[in-house]
Amino acid sequence: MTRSRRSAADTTPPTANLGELEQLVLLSLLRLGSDAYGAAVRREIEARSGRPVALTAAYTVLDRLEAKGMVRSTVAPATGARGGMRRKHFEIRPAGERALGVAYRRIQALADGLEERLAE
Amino acid sequence: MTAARDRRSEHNGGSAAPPPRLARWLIERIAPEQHREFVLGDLTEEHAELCSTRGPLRARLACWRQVLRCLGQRLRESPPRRRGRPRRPGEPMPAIALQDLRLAVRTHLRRPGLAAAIVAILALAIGSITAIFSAIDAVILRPLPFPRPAELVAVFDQQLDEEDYPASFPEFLDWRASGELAHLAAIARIRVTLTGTGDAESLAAYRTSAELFPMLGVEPVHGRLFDSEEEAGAGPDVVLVSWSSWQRRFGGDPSIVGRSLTLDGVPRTVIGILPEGFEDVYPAAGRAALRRELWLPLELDEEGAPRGLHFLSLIGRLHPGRTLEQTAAAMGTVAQRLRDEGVSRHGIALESLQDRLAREQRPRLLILAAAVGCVLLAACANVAGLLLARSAERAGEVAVRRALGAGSARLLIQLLLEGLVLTIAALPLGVALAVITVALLRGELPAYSMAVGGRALAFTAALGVATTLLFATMPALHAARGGRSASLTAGRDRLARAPRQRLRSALVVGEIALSLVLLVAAGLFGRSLHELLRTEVGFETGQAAAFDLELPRGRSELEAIRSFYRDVLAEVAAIPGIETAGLTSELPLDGGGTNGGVPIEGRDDPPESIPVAEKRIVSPGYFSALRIPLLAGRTPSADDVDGRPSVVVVSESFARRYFEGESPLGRRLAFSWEIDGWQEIVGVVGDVKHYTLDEEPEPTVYIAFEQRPAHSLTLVARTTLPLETVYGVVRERIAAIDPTVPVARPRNLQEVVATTVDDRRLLLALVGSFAAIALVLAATGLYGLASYSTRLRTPEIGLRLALGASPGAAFRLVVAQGVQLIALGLILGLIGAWSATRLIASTLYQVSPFDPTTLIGVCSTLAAVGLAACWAPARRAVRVDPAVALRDE
Repeated sequence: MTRSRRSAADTTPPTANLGELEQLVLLSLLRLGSDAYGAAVRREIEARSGRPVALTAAYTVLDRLEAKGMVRSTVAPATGARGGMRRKHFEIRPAGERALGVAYRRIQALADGLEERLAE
Repeated sequence: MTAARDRRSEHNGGSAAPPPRLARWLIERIAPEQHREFVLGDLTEEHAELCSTRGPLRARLACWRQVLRCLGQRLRESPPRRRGRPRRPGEPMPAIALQDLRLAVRTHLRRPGLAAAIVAILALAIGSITAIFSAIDAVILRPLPFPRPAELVAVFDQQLDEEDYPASFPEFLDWRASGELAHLAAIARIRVTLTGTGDAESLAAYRTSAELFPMLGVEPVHGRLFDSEEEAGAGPDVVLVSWSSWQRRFGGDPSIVGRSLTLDGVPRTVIGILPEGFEDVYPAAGRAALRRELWLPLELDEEGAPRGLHFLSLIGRLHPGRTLEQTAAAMGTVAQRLRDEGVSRHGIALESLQDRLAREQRPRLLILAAAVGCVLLAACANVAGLLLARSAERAGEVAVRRALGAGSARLLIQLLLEGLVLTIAALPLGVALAVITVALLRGELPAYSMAVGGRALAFTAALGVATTLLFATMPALHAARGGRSASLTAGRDRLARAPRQRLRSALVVGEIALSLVLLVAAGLFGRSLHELLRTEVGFETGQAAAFDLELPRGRSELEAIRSFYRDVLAEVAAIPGIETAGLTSELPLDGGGTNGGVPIEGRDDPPESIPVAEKRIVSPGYFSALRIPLLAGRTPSADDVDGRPSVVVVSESFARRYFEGESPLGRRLAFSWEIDGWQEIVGVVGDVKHYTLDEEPEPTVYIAFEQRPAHSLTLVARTTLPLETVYGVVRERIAAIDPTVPVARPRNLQEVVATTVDDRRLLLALVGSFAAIALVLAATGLYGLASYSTRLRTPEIGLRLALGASPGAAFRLVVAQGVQLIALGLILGLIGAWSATRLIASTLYQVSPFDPTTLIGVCSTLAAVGLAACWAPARRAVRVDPAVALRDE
């Protein structure tokens, strides 16, 4: 009984701490808007930050974020270009945006005055 | 930007090729179930898009990069939560994850002794085979380090009896002028004396034609190469220095180019430094001590090097696009033309340079490869036996796992993985062993740049996988299958053990057979070495020292040469403790020799049947110094000097072959090696072996040194002093006569003879060690099996004893089983040896491949070792206490 309650999305506090990859994934979802799916997220992160990401890792993180209620997914029908496989689209939810904002402000607050050193 | 690319892909359709099948297969196993479809879809889409924008190669690379990244991520990830749940039918098999490996390692750590034994056995086998592979790679497989090595050929003079005779200088000119080869270069091995840089020193060198270096693609690191004028001796006197000599002698100083070295008393300008790694044209040319330090132009003319003097090694390059056979045929036509014109009587033979260089070592290396293969098989059989015994202990564990839902395939993979862990642990040890062995081998075969390199490591890795499959599959199959019938409670299901025991017995029989084959081979090599060392060489080897003396070539007055060597003989003979001393142009069995035709006076032999003989120049004391017996007449004396009628002595086989019963004394022959006219035969001496111990002595003619002086001679002194003392004293005395003459290679005659069988000794040592390893493996395998089956039969033995059987009967029961296995192993081994010894028959000397002494000796050794291995388990059987044994039951 207790187990099912804990995993329910709506009980997750909106300010839950985010891991680095979670932050990057959420940021890329914000950038990609409605066009976001696993490979696009991976490419966005790699292209902008240079951090290599395994596709399976991207999906694992997206899964976890969905379980925390920060992301919503929809499955699109299969296409020929995908060899008959379906595509899973992701969208950031308000809880995700809030958590990202908290994380961003924390970083900003601590980085205040250190910008020059950190930019090197 | 990426978003834009994604949108474009929407319109791409499904026309492009899907990602590689293996990549898809891997992803299906790596990706978690809930993401699999989307990950695969993403990869497919991305691949199609990259195919159209950046080409299929880029697309495939990107795809593989993703797969590897996913694999890495998956391995780092925590274990999947699904573990332990039974696999539903149709569900894909779970991936091999890190925890399976961890489990395998833990399994072995539970029995560290057994694991260590297995790792040691595997390391030994892998190490030996990697080392031998490195040697084979260096000698046979690796192409020569020159551009387009397949075009390079060795070119020989072809005489009646021999295919691969060195060429003479005029032949070289004729053949080169024919144009049938794109390039043809001549090489002569020489020694030169370097003076003016400390002690006088005799250096190994080559004289070569200018074409050699461009043909082999060799560029100097400093300076320049010879030109054709210098080759002909028409230009200034020049010399090239090898890289290692440049480093060692001149400290790698580039300003040496342009400086002058005094070689054989003649100043020569250093014009260039040869590149690193180019020490010799012939990688097989011999010992490190003979590395060529200097390269001089050929500088020959037909007067100094007439058609009868065969001493040039020729290397040629085929015209591009022409085969060896075509060129050989064309050269045959050239030889025919030269014969028709009456210029020459000889033919021309071609052989691929690579084959030529590998020829000497190839049979030995193949034998070693076969031997080491036997060791590997025996090791695998041994390890398989140990794992089988272990799988019997683990029957319970396997049954539990099966009860919890593990499928056969899953169990099999886990067990194979356990084998792989052992191999992986053994690999670094094996490679370390190989590195050590190769270092030792390099000492024996220094001319090859042998090393445990990338190819050997790749081979080892492949071998590791093959080994694992070889030793782990059978026990794994057994364990995976066996668990089904085994009940969870009883580890005593004897029916399940029966096939396992049979399999172990078969493995032990195999090990015995393999070790028998190796022991027979080692025994035959040992016997032939023994026979060789017992053969009559024709001279006495004990207590005699030899030195090479090299008078600088610049000193060309014959009288100066004579007086120097006369002084040497007088000085050395005057040393107390030296009995006799003599000089010879070439010491027997020392690696060198000169031979040629010696026409006999009064016989009109057609050119092809002119007697051929070894030719040696000797001083009066030579025959007594070597203790070569005088059979008739006399040896050269101090009176046979310049101006007196010149005399020769012939060997017994010369007299027998060319005078057929008549006395040769008083007859005359033409020595025809830088001496004209007829020489009278004044004596007959015993035969000696000149080149190898397994040859028949060649007919030999000896000429008196005073009448035919030579620059470089070998001094032999028979002595009662310790040889070390002699080396020092003789050097001192000769330096007192002339400090510019180097005294090189002090050695004793026993060493000289022993060196000729170095190769065989090495082969015997290696095959012998492999045989010893195989024997130990077979013995431990038999011991393990006998102890195990004794334990298994303890209740039965107890029952028998309780029913009144004597302890002797119990003892016999265990030994009988061992005897059966040994007998079977011996029979199979003899069959194996019968076919294997054909491979080595050509390397044996005066020993039949079916030598009964060897076979009986080996069989009885093996039987004795095998019985000894059964002894302890049989003793244990005798001590079985019936009460205890039956209570356990």
